[in-house]
Amino acid sequence: MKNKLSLIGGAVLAILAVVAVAAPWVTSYDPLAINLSDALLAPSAQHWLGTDQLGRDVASRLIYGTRISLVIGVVSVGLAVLVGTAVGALAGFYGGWLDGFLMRLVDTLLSIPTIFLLLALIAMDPGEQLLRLAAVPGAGPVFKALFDAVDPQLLVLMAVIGLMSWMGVARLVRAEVLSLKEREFVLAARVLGASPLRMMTRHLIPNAMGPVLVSATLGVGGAILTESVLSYLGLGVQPPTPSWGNILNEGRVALGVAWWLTVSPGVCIFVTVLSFNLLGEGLRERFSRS
Amino acid sequence: MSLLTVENLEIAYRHEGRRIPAAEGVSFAVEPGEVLALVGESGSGKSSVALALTRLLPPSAECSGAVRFEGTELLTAPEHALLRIRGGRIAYVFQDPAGSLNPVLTIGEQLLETISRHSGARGAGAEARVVEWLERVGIRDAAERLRAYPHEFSGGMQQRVMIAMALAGQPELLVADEPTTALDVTVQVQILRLLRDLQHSLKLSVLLISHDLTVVERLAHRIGVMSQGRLVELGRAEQVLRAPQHPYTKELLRYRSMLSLPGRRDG
Repeated sequence: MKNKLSLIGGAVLAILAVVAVAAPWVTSYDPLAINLSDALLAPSAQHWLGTDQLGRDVASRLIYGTRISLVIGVVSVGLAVLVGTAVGALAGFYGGWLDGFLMRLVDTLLSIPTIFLLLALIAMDPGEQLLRLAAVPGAGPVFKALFDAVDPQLLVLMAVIGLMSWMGVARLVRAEVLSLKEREFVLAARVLGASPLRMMTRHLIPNAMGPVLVSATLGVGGAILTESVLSYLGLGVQPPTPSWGNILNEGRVALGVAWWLTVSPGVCIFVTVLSFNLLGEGLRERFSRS
Repeated sequence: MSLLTVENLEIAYRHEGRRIPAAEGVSFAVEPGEVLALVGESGSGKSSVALALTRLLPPSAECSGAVRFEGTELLTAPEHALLRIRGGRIAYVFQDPAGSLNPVLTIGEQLLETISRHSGARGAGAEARVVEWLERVGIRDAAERLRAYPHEFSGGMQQRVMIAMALAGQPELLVADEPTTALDVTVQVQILRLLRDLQHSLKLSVLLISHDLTVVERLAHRIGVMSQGRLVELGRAEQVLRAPQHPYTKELLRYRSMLSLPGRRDG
């Protein structure tokens, strides 16, 4: 039964990914095109999910929003996995004072309410600070090319969400490494002359990846939620770029007259996060069986 | 000159403030091309001695004395020097082959790792060496089997792979710690035969650790008997087995003759 649910979760996510990639072919409406004469139209054959206050097609805004939400979810969790795995592996492998220091750092970060830290970080307007990098002599053009490709605001958002969520992964990897360290094949690698770096990257970390994959899958759902919350508060993805969170935010003022503006992004967020959780649970079951 | 000289080796584990001795005043030497066996019941300190040679004991262990390998003192050598000695000059084979192989890497990848580290061979040349070694330890269809994962191999096959991995670094000394204990009796005989053949053809020195006198008898030139952390007897194999001097050795041999009842002798 659970297996079936996780398959459904995986299928929904696959469809979402296809939709996100193929957005221009899925919808013929420009998500940014304002058409005031068509404002606040109810769902119809023409506009499947109606239009917003500026007459933009909600369905196409959601479809383009899928791109943003999925990319933010996957990239920020990727960053969290990278940092968390490195910290956890170092702490578990070397132990001693390094372990003590890194784990206390994890405890400290976990005891700060994430949302306040996020708000404080974003209030410092790191996107603007980031833009200055484009003026750095030498490396400037590289950064400029990066910022032309990806909105610096988006980079900041992914970095901030990622850097706030690696602690769980670090604990997980540390625990795995501690138990793997006692396994004979790790000693066998050591007696054959493997260096500490090689032991970590080749023998310990790959064997710890099962649970990390599970937690990453669950984490993507969490990251998408965080992005939605931040965008809803006006601190995430900035308009006019559509994201599920800011569509929800813009629809809030018209809640009484145009329910479709808030319900549709709400359903998108709900279904996506649920799908990631189902898929994650299914993976967990798989890994615990083997 | 001896290949390996161990002098007055003392090992003790610190545990909750107490000091638990594992080896006391152990001295022996391994000559080039010789098989020296250390026998004794479990807990007699033989495995601790084996691991102490290249400083593989856990941090809770204290070690003193001297371990000289071709004139180099190993107990005080810097860690980077030991990285080259482990696997390259002194290699190990352990009891549990299933646990000794990394489950996420193929047999070929693991063997390749040792070969490229200790011989510097890369690419197609290194791959050819992998196949060569797998064939040498008696694995058929080696070119295909190297893409298999450890769980696709039987215990005996896994131990053959471990032996290939240990010897691929072309060590002078092989430390075999209970190499056949986890295997079926018929497979034990095959592995022992393989070890003996390789020892002969490579002129390898072997330090064989075992509690099983039948195993020791097949391979060892000399036998050292350990009891409660001390080396109580050391001599030529026939002499120790036929005319034991120490009471503990006599006892060990008496239990063995009790176990091999008429009609139940194997091998």
